[in-house]
Formats: sequence, C-alpha cells, structure tokens
Amino acid sequence: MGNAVEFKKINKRFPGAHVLKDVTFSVKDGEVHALLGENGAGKSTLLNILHGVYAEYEGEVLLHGNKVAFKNPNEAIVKGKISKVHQETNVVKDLTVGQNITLGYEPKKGVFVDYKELNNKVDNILTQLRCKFKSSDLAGNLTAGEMQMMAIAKALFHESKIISLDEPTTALTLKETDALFEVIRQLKKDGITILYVSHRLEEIFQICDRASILRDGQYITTLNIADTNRAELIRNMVGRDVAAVAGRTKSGIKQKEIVLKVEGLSSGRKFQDVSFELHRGEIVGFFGLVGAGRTEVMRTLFGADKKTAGRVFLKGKETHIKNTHQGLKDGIGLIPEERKTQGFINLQSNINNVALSSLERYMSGIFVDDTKRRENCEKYIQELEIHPAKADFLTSNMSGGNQQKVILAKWMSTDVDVLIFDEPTKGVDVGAKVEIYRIMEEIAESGKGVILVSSELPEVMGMSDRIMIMSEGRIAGELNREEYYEDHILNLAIGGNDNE
Amino acid sequence: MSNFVKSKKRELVVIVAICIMACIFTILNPIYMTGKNFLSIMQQATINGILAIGMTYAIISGGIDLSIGCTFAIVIVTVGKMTVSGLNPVLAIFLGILLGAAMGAINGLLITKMKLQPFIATLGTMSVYRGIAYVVTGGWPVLDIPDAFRTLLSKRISSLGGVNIYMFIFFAVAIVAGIVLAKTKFGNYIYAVGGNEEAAKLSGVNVDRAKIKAYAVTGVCAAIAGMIQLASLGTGEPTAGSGYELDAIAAAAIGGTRMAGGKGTILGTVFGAILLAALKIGLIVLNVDTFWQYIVTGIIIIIAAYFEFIQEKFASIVAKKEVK
Amino acid sequence: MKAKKLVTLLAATATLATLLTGCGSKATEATQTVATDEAATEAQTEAVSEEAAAPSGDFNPDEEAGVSIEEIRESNGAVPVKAGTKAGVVAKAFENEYWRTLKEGYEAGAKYITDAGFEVSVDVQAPQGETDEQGQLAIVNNMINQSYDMLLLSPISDANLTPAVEVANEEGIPVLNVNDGLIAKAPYFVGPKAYQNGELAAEWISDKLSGEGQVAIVIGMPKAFAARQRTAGFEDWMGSNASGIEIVAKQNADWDRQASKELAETWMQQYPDLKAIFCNNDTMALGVVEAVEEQGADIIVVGVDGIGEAYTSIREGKLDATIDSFPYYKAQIALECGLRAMAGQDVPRVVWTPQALIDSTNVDANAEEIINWTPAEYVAE
Repeated sequence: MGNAVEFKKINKRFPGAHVLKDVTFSVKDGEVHALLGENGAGKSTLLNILHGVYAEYEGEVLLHGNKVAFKNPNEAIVKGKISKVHQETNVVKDLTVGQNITLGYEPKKGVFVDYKELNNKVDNILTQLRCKFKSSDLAGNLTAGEMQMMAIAKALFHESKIISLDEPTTALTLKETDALFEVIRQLKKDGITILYVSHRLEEIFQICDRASILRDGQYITTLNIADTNRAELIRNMVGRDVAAVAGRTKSGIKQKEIVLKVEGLSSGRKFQDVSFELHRGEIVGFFGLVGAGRTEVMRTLFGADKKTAGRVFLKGKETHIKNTHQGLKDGIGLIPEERKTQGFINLQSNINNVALSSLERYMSGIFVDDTKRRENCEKYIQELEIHPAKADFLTSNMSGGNQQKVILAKWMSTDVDVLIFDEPTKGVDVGAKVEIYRIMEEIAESGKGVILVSSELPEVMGMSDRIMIMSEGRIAGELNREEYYEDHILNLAIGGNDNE
Repeated sequence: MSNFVKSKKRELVVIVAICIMACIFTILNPIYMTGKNFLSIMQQATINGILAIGMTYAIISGGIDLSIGCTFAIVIVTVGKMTVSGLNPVLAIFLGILLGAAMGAINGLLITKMKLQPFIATLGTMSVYRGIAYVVTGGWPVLDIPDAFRTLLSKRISSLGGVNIYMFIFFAVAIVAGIVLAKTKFGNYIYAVGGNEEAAKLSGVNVDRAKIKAYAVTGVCAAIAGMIQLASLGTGEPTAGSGYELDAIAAAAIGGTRMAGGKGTILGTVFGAILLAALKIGLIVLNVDTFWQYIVTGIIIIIAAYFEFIQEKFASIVAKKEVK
Repeated sequence: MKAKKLVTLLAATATLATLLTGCGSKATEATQTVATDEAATEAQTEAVSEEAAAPSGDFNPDEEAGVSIEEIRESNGAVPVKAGTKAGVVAKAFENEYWRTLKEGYEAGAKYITDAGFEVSVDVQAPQGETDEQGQLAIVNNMINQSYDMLLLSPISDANLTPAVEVANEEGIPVLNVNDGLIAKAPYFVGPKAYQNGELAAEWISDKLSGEGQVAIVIGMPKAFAARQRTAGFEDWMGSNASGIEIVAKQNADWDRQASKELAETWMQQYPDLKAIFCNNDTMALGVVEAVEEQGADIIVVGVDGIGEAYTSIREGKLDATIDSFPYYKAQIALECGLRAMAGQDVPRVVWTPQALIDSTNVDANAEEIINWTPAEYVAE
C-alpha cells in the first residue's frame, strides 16, 4: 500500500508565530488517519496547507507520490481530488441540496443548468451515503448532521480520493454520529483515505487506524490505534500524564449558605418551571441534549433574555434582573457558549477584554486608569498561564483555550457570587481543559457558586457536586454524586421519549 | 517604531497625506502655503469637523446617524428664534445643546428600544427633523440674529491674527470628545458595543444605555456645529445642513473610523476633516473646474478608504520582518 | 511602501487637477471670444452663449425672440375669461421663499380676477423637496386626471414632467412652463431672461468700478440652467463691454450660504485686490456678505432673486444689489397668459417677465412702480 499523503519538512510562519516546524509524516492509502493535538498545535494550519487555503509555506506536500502546490481550495478539490469537510460547513441555505453540492460545477444543457441530470447525480450519491433527504430539498431545512452528510456528498461529487473531516461530530447528536461513522467505514471500504481531526478521543478509538500527533507545531509521533491507549495519546498530546481529565481535586468546599435560589422560572416556550438552589462553593452541573433549554435558562438568569414567570433570589434577596448590566451588578456572571462570537471583543486587546466587566475597579476620578487595567490583566496572565503572555495582544489572535482563559480572567476580575460556565471546554484542547477545571474549582473554593452547563457527560460527572438534568425545557431530574450512572443520566435527558 | 508612533499610525498617515497634498498645491500655487490660508483651512474644517466628531461616536458604536444635518437645522432655527426673541444668549446655547442631545437620544431610543437598524431609524428621523425645521419657521429663514449671541461663538480675534473664536471651540470639542472616548467607562463601552454587541451584552455592559448616550453625543455635536454656523452667518435657514452628514461620514472614514464599528479615534476624524478642508481650498485656489472638483473629492475619499486595506497589508509585512 | 503609494496617488490626483485647471481656463477663453464676436454683430439683440446652450430638447428660452406682457396686451387686448376656470399650478418646493412668493402671486391673481367678477380658482401644489422628481410628476398627472383647465408648471428638472406634458398636449390642456426647469414639449414658456440677469449685474458692477478691477463669480449648482445662463450673461457682458474688468475666479457653492461664505474667505486671501463678487442667487450673496463684513473688506456683492432678506440687507448697507425677477407678478402674468391661451389667443412661445436691479437707490420703491405694473383687463368669454 502506497502513501496517499506525504508531508515533508513543512514549515509555516505567521506574523509573530512559527506555527509548524519541520512537520514530516505520511498517511497511507485507504486508512482512517487521526490528526491529534491541542488547540494551537497546528492541526488546522496543516489541513489548510493540504487543502490549498495557504499557498505559501516551506516544504513539500505529496499526494500519491506527486508533489502538489495548490493555489486555492478549489484547485485542490477539482485537480487534487481532495476535499475538506468543515467544522461549521458552508451552506447556502436558500439553495437546494443539489445546488449546494454542485455549486459552480452544475451539469449543463447548453447554457442552462440541467436540473434533472443534477438531481439524478446527487440523489445517487445520497443513496450511497444512506441519506434520507433528497437533492431537491432545501438545504436550510437540514439538521446539522444532514449538512455534514451533504458536505461529504459534495466531496464524493468531485470524486475526491482524500477527505478531511475537521471536528465533524461537534454539532451532531449521538445517533447522527453513529450514522457518520457508518459512512466513514463505507468510504474506507471504497478505498477513500480519511484524515480525521477530533478532540473526542473515544471517537478516535472507534474508527481510526492510526493517529499522528502534533504538539506546539511539531510532529511528535504516529501511533497504531490498536496498540495504544487513551493515556498514551494524551501524554503525547500534552506532554504529561493526565490521569483523569475531568475530576475534582478538592472536596468539602461546599458551604452552607445558599447563594442562588430559582423558583418556577419560565420563559415562554423556551423553558418552563425551572427551580433549583445553589450553595456557595458548590459546582452544579446542567446536563441535557442540544435544545433542552439549558443555555436559555442561564441567559435569562443573567438578564440577557426576558423571563415570563418565576422568581430569583440572590443571597437571600429577591432580584428582578432586567438586563445583563443589572445581572452583573447583582452578582451573576456568564461565560457564554459561543466563545468567538459572544465571549470577547474582536478588535480589542487582552487588557480591554479582561477589564470590560469591572471597569469601575480601575478608575482614577472619572477616567479609566490604563496602568491599573494593565496590572490586573498581567496578574491574570501569570495566574492563568495565558499564552502569549502579552497584555497588548489581540484576544482574537489567540487559540481557543487561551481565549477562554481571557474570558475567565474577565469574570474573575469582577466580584460576582455566581458564575455560570456554558460549555466552557467546547473546542478546547485537553491541556487547557484541565486548566479550566482547576480554575473552576478555585472559583468555587473562593466561595462563589458555580454552574456548569455541558453536553459532555464525563465532564459534568467529573466536576459537579450535583447534576440537574434538563429535557425539553424542563428539569427532568436532579442527581447527587452517588447516583451518577451514565445510562440513568442519559435516559433522563432523553426524557423517556423513544422517538429520539 | 516607538509606541506612540505605533498607536497613532493611522493619524500620522493622514497628517503625511495632508502635508503631501499641501506641498503639491503649494508648488502649483504658492498662495496655498500662507499662514492666513492655513487658518482658513482650519476654520473651514470646523463645522464639518464637529459634525464628524459626533458621527464618529455613532459609527464606533456600530451604527450611523444620517439625521445630523437635520438636527443641525432644527437647532439653528430654534436657537435662532430664541435669541431673536431676546433670550439670554448663554441660556440659548445651553438649550441648543440640550435640544441636540434630545434629538440624538430619540435616535438612540429608536435604535435600542424599537430595535431599528440605525440606517433606517435615522433615515426616518432625518425627514422628521427636517420637517420640524420647516414647520417651526414656515420655511422662512430666521433673520437678524443678535450680535450678543453671534460674538459668543463667532468672532475674529485681531490680536491673534484674525483667528475666529470658533476654531477654539472646535479644538475644545475635539479634546473633550477625544478624552471621553478614550478614557472614560462610557468610551470603553462604546468601543465594546461597536466591536461585538453580543459579547458586550454578555459582559454585563448596558448596551442600550451606551448606544443612547453615543447618539446623544452625536446630537450635541450637531447642535454645537449648528450654533456656530448660525453665529457665523447671522441667519438661520431651515434648509441648512442638508448633505452635511455625508461630509461627516467622509471625514470619519478618512480618519480611519471602521464603518462596521468598534474602531476609530477622534484625532483621526479631526485630521480627516482637515484633509477635506485642505483639499477643498486647494481646488478653489487652483480654480479647478467645479464639475471636476466632485470627481477629485470622490477619488480622494476612495483612496482613503482603500488605504485602510493597504495599511493592514503593510503592517503584516512589517510584523513578518520583525519575526525574522 | 505605504508612503510611496500615497505620494504616487496624490501626485496623480494633483496632475489630474492641473490638467483640469488648464482645460477649464481654455474653455472660458473660447467662450469669451465667441461671445465677443457675436456681440459685435448683434449689439442690440441677445448675445448668444455657446457654452450655455445645452438645455434639454435644444430649447433655450434665452435664445428665443421673447415678447413682454405689455406687447401681448397691446396686440390681443383684454383677457377673455371663462367663468369657473380651474388652473393647476405645480411649483418646485415650498421650502424656498421664491416658490412661496410665486404661490402668493398666483393666488393674488386669481383673487383679482374673481373680484373683477369672473370666477377663477388656482390650486398651487408642490412636491416634498426640490429633489422629488417623481412626486412632482404624480401631482401633475393627478391634475390632468381631474381635468384642470390649464397647467402652470415649474419642473424640478428639464425632463421629469415631460410624460405628463405629452398627455396634456394630447388632451388640449394648455401647458405653461413657468421658468427654471425647461420643458421643451410645453407650448409656452413664461419667465425672466436668465442671461439678461447676469448682464444687468455685470453692467451695474462695471459702472461702480468704473470699468476696472478684479471680480469673481459664485455659481449655484452648475447643472442648473439659471446658474449657467446668469454666469454666461455676466461673463459675456464683461468680455465685450469692460476690458478693464478681470474675472479672476468662478467657483461652485451649491446654492449654499455657508459654502459661499467659505469661498469668499478663501478668495479674499488669494486676491487681495478683489473688488466685486457676483453670486447666482441671494442666499449665496448673503453668505459672501458675512465674510466681507467679518474681514471689513470693501467688496461689492451682487445677488439674484430679490428675496426679502436681500432687501433688508441692502437697506442695512451690506448687500450692494440684487436682481429681482418679481415672482409675485410673474405668477400673475403666467395666469393671464394661460387664460389667453385657453381662449385661443395667439400667445408667443416665450414670454419675458420683468426683472430689475435693486440697489440702495430703489430698495424702498414700490415694486409696481419699478416694473410699471398694471393689471390686465378681463372680459367674459
């Protein structure tokens, strides 16, 4: 068996960063090859080079033994027969599935698009992938999983021999994920080479043959999945042993005082009758499937959305939070789910982003004192080990994990009593995950109440003192540590509804 | 590069552009490079400059205010009427500023509470405000503005070589507006809201309040500019200020204000306004055919906008060199 | 690299600018020569400016052999009135004093005729703003649908009312184009001679300066017919009659007071010997007056239109002169011509309305005396 892809001494530099250093390894023909590494390790950059997004780099890329140098992604797809299925796929929602798949390469009759031929071709591919939707369906009506399938169908339409999947399961339900794996196995049988990038190590063990690991832009090793284990993979990725990724290191920090009490909170159709209590020093997990209403509850508590019924008590006193400004003043903070679009201000430096929620702390008279702001930012850069350790750096130019730490620093700079973490480790590498868990515990230990919203069961189980399970906008159950059983939790989350 | 140069890069570029332009104009007609001409450039930059400072607030907050020319007109005619009826000029100025703030705040309320697009909301108020100016005056200009008012805002100081007092008002407005934007909580919030409204909201920033205040500042600037024109002309016309919003936007854009919000400085905008005035006077001094003046002015604006792009490319090249 | 690019761009722009200046002055020279030649041969009748002759449909009222209302009255006698005549009037926009005065003139005219025993009504409308071309067309269409007996139109542009005028012509409704915008398809034009306007100003200024010195012109929007003709009339007259007068600058100020003030400020520095400034309208002239007063300079300022504020300014000794085209009486003349046309009388293509130069000597005189106004006689049709 030959090599489908060979990387030879790939180097890539960005302004101020050397992101790939002499990366050399190869992917065998017809295998499912995992590409692992923390965020910022260089996986995305390497994929972008492979797929022609970055045309400037040092070193050589060989496909099936031939040196290639694509000028743009389109050339890679059409000439190189190599396609990439994005993390968030690009879909024109107002076009049909068939139009999306064939965009720019529609079969023609004279000058007109031959829709009959187009739909025939696409439907053939969709049948092959066992998709339930048709070429003529509107793309906007597809679920996240179906859109992923559409992207794969597009790769097949262009007769790709190599397909990269970048975090394909992030937005998928368990069922959709299973279906995707089925397709991947099918593609492998058909002789297609798959490059698979994911943070979810369980998935790697399910479908990958080999895994190459990058760390800080350097190639570390390639392992046969059959001969390795989780611990070895993690050790290679972070360079140290992480015995338990999510787990508590401190216990007994829960205090008696109830800091937050919620009674019958409702917001129209989004969620109804949510009641719970939170103690100081306690971490309460909120688990549920996508769409269960967890994020909506948290946004309402913080004042970002309006409630329609219910009462909220903070430190024993009832509050009527109308907007987030008041939420902050009353002592609630929220680390939002969508980090890049909701977490920080794009055009601003770490100094500004860290200080945004606590500006009154850095005042000299009526003016914001830049020195005080900088000192605060630098304190957290040290404490949270933020990289690059530059206060003036634009937050948007940092890796996901470090961006999350900047957001954490922003909230740690305030004196809120309740801090809500909404999917804090989504898209964050393993090393940063561990650090975020440690910070979360420290925050709880300092006497704040912590709410952890997460779709990752091991994370919720490992970190929470209690788990509230939400299903279809309601609290479906509340479990204490000794009652944690995966199937029980999942069953509550599904709501006993067998249709799902 | 020193930190100062780095942080004021955009402003320096505009200054260099003004200097180069001045040199070219001077070579073509030496009268351009005289102290008096320099003064008239500064003075003619005043009204557009103050309007543009206000516009910069609206744009940085992520919006735009098309109604400033009409707020300008309302303030002109109402303050004009007040002074003609014998109201204390200082009180009239105060009321004018209040009026401008109110008109701006109405824009802000429409945009935040009714969730209208800034473009549409201010397009609407633009027409409403202009209509009010006509209704208030019946379409007639307000004549014979008392000198007591006029000399407060427009007076040549002969001991300073004939500098008009409103030039100092321009500087004062620029300094105050610049400091407020750069140094206060309010200023920080405007940048945050314009940079990413959702993130600002989820950081506990009172987004609505920041926006309403920003538009109020825009209105206040329009009011100050209006009163200066009223004092300088001695007549208040309800038709005044039409089209001025576009010049203000141009000045802000040339000064490096990001049209999508979140970025820009008052200093940049002030230099943008000066550049436009310097260009206008240069074309007058050269007696350029008026039809062609439109074309040249437009080209300069386009070049300035394109410059943002060139500048970023240049910055990345410099950064690459620094890495190596 | 950045600086280099900027230099190149600016240099390019500046080069362009220089070229333009060159072209501009050449064109002016050419015009002047043409005008001079023609003025020599046609001293008595209207001199023609080639440059200005570009209105739509090749119709330029200033080139037509216009007739005054007195001549019409002499040849046609009393005005036959059909009782119950309904005249539709569409003005440009009431934001402007000029159009409001015109409206008052129409209404006064109708009242006079009605008081004389013949019931005539006028309905004066205007679109919202001087740029609402479609809105103005809609008003005219509506008037045609409601069968008004005549249409007196002052269009926003040379073209925007043409479709309605075509329909009116088909239906036999008399259409009178009442100055400013020009409708080539309208059978009648009533208005002052814009070209003569500039000539009057030029003659007066030349007189005051004893035929010597530097003068400048503030143009309105250069696309406007009136602005072009007033400027051309002024330039041509100076070119052929006052060789000692030098027109050193002419620039556009978009009819805007602040813009013209700023223009004057720049000129006063650039041309310390500037003796007079002619402005295409009074609003701009009043802006120039402010600049002149501020500097304490001794410069003659002349405007056009004769708005109330200009009269006040002349009385105060600030503005030196304005050319009034008496919209109040112009409206009455238009109405009279409309009635004559309805009755089938022979009304010429172009009817000149009176205009006169107002300065400190006649500013307090009665307008009716200045233009010798007498109302027409009316008889039943």
